Parts: sequence; structure tokens; C-alpha cells
Amino acid sequence: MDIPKDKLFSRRTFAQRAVLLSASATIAPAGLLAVARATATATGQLPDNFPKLTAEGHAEAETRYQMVSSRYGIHWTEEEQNAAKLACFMAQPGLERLRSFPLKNGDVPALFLRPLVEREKLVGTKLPVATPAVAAKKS
Amino acid sequence: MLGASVLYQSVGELAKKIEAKQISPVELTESYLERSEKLGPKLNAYALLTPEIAMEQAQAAEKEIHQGHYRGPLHGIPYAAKDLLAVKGIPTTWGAKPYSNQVFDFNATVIEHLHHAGAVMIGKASMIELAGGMGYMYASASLQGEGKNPWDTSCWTCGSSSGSGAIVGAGLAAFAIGTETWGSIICPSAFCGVSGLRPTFGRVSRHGAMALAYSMDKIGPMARSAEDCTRIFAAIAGHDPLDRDTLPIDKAAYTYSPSAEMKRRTLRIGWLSNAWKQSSYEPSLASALEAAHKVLQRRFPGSREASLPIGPWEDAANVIVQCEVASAFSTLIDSGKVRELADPLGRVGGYVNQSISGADYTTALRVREILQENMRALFDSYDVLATASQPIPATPLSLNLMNGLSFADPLGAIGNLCGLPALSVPCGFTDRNLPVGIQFVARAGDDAAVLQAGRGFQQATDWHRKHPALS
Repeated sequence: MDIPKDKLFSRRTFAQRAVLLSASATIAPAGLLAVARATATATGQLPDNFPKLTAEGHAEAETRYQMVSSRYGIHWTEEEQNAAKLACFMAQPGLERLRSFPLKNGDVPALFLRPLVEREKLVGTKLPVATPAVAAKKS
Repeated sequence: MLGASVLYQSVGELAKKIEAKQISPVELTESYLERSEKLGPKLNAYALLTPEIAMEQAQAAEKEIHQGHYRGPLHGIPYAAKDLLAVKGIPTTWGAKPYSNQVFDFNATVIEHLHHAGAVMIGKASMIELAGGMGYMYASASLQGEGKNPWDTSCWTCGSSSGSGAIVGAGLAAFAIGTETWGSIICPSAFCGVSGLRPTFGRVSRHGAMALAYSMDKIGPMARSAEDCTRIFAAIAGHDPLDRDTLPIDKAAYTYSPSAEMKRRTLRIGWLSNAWKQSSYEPSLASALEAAHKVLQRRFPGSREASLPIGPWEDAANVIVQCEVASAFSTLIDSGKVRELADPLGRVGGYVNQSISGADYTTALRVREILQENMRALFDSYDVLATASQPIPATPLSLNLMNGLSFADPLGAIGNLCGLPALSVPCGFTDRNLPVGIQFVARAGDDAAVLQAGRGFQQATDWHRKHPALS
């Protein structure tokens, strides 16, 4: 599908708008406080144990954190805020590797797990070849 | 009371003595209960001891055996069940405070199977809260506290079947039942120096077990040896109409036949070169594994190197677990009661899991389908893949697991994504006297291959007969 470039959102633009939307959706003062608190944390330097992300990846992870924090963060302690933020950022590299794995339209999902036991081998099935998306995480 | 030399015997050895009426199931049960009361609290091994159930079942077993009705190798054998398996009328806490008063009015299918085999349940084994489904940063993420390793109580048992590992490792019961979604049988078995089987997905019914990730949860035995795992697996495997994910009758059931299995076939073993970052092994762990490799080469001639396919398998597994957990515990998450969990990450992890998109989940399922085909092709060349169960020995109790136990685990991801059977058995010790484990993985449905490999390895070694000094 061809869409004019000026009509496209970049991922960063999308992320920025999502942050604004999620923040504005939380009207209660306590919620705003949580968002403000989280935003203040976000503007600071990230700890060393956070993964290094691209600008887009950082924006997406930050958006995820803001969304979660704006919904639930009013009860969180500082330790829990940090844990949530770390979890949001830690999830990002894996999501990016997963998304960059080459899949064709016809590669169907295993909607539920049916282990391939020996007698169920599909006769004449062409074997898809796995291609590494990234090699960095492998041992 | 019976001493440790008897209580550390295998199910096979105990069963012979029970059948010959040389050991009384009642005396055996009383002895395990006494040892569990004494040592269990030091290890945080139990969620609950169930002496009344145990004595009732032991007395029934003894009466039947004296009347000549011997049910088989588990008759009169005491065991512990991970506290996520429903047992009628007693608390099943799932290791988590929000469920501390939860009581079911039925037994999990596994509990029913073991009851019919005549086994004696002496307690519920402690576990990581919600089997770690919300994520956790510390070993203390459990209603029962941190699982302490019988080999060194300043070290962890690993999770989430922490109590099951401690109970078998410390000789508090003859065997235990654990569960695995990703690593929860293999890792505690390795850390605690016991033998643990993760069966093929769908061979053991999960009816009555806490659901964590619907497409990845498995239930399996943890015991003194691969042969014991075989006996227990034969008792608990089978199709169950109450669990729609169990395999059909002919593919789920497992028949134990010791002599036939050992002569069955020559296994083609593939020694994995890329399952772990081997250059980071500590020297004594590397030595133990090298020695185990040589044993395998002698025992199974023709063993050769193998490599896992490369791909985002861990990422796919992570996404699937995160999304399925978010759905399985949506009521808990939305209620805010996750705040009652012990671990700081567990208290917020569910919310983060909910934020993973449906598109990413579906992508992960598509990657899983491709991975299954890749592994099917790999198992055309090998019957069993072998490598270290874990690249490190038991870790300190205080370790932040997000930093200290976050190494790559492609084989764990692959095995659990594809529902492959795996067996961990002890293969040595580090220079700090902590157990080292070796694991075997086979194609889906070929649980017999990993059991044969483990039994073959244990016929040539005696690591599974070593026990910690406890008092």
C-alpha cells in the first residue's frame, strides 16, 4: 500500500503522541503526579543496567513505561517504579529482534502448541530456513 | 526411625524393600516427615507438611501390601507436590500471598494419578510466587521465603520449583513433582544435584495446576535418578479429557520397561557447541562438563558436535510467556493485588506484560512455527542433544537475578517453545562443592530418548549418589 511520506508517522512521532495521549487520559491529580514523577525520572540519565537502545527504541520503551505508569503508577514505590521502567526497557531489544526476523505472509502462527511428534511429520513440507536477525545475543 | 542412608535411596531401591516387606511404608513416611520437620524449615522447602494425609495414605498402602495387593514401584513411596497443584481441602498458595488462603475442592490430575499408584503425599513444596510469571529479581520472591540449597544454604535452589529441588536434594522425600514453563525443573535440578525430567508438552495433564503460560507449562518429576524419573513419569503421563492440551492416548501414555528400554537403540548424541557461552564457564564447572562429555562419548559411540539454529527464539519465548501470563493473571493484575507479591519486579511485571502488543505476540507464534520445523530437521541427525544444564552453579541468595542470572539461554527457549522433553542429571561438582548438571533434550514425544541417555550416563557415573551433609 502506497502512502505519501508526509502522511506517515515516524515511530518517534507516534511514541511522542502516545505519551501525550496516555498522560492526558489520566486526569486524577494522583495520576498526574505519577506521570510527572515518571517523566522526571525519564529525563534523567538511565542507569548502567538499562540496555542501550536506538532513539526509536528508547521512545517506544519510554512510551510503554509512561502508559503503564499512568495507569497504575500512583501506588508504586520508588523501587517499583524503577523495576517497571527497567522491565519496559529490557523488553525492547527482544521485541526489535523479533520484529526484524524475516517472515513471509504465509508463515502461519502456532496458535496453540502442538508438539511435532515423530508420526505427525508433514510429508513433502518445504523446510523454512531460519536466518539470524541479529547475532549479538547468541553465545 | 530410618536413617539418611535409607532415606536417600532411590525409588527403585525403596520399592524393592517395600514389596519384600523389608521396609514399612508407615515407618518410611514417619521418617521422611521427621526429617522434613527438622530440616525443611532450614531450607524453606515446604509450603505445608501434610502429616495427616501422609499417614492415612501410608497406612492404606501398608494394609494393601500386606494383603498382597502391591500396586507397583510407587506404592508406599513418600513424595512432595509443588504448591501449584490442587489438593482437595488444603491450601494451595501458588507461592503467593494473594492466594495464601486458596483451597480447592478437587485434586489435580497428577495428584490423582500418584494416589492411584499408591504414592504417599507428605507435603506441598514451596515455590517462587506464581512460578515467576510476573518476573522476579530476588530468590526471596516466595511466600515461603528464599529456597536454600542443601549443598550450601547461602546459595539458592533456583526456581521456580525451589522447594521440590531442596526436598529431593536434602532427602526429605523420595521424589517431588515440579513444573516448568522455562527452566523451572531443569535449573533447580542442576543447582540441587538431583535428576529432573521436563516431559514433552501435553504428555502430563495440567488439570488442577496453576496456569502460567498456557502453551508452555509442563509438569514433571524430580528424583534421585533418571530411572526414578522414568518410573514416576510412567505413573503421571497420559491423555486427560480435562486438559485439552494433552496428547492423544497413544502419544501421551508412557510404559516403563527397564530392560527393553536400555537395549532399545543406539542413541545419536549431539554435543551442543553453542547452547551457552562456554568461555565464561568457571574452570571447575568446565572440567566437570568435559569429563561428562567423555563419559557420553564412551557410552554412546558416534557422539559428535551439534549446533542449535540461530534466531530470536528467546525473544519469542519471552513475548509468549509475557502475554499468556498477562492474560492468565489479568484478574489479579487489574485488582491491584499484585502489590501483595514479595518481589519488587513481581509487583509491577504484570502491568508491563499487559503492554506487549497482539502483533508482537502473533509474530512470536509465527517464529515458533518456524523453529519447530528447524528443530525437527536437527533431530533427523541426532536423537539427543546434550550440554550443561546451566552455565553456572548455584548462585548466592542475595544476588539480583536481573543482573546476575540473565545470561542467554537459547536451548531453554527452544525446548520450551517447542515442547521438547529434557532431563537434567548431576555430572560433578565445582571446587566449592556445588553440583553441576548435564541436560539431554530430544524431539517432541521422544521422552524415552532423554531417559535412556540419562540412565546410560548414570550407569557409568555415581554423581547422582552423592548427597549433602546436613544436620
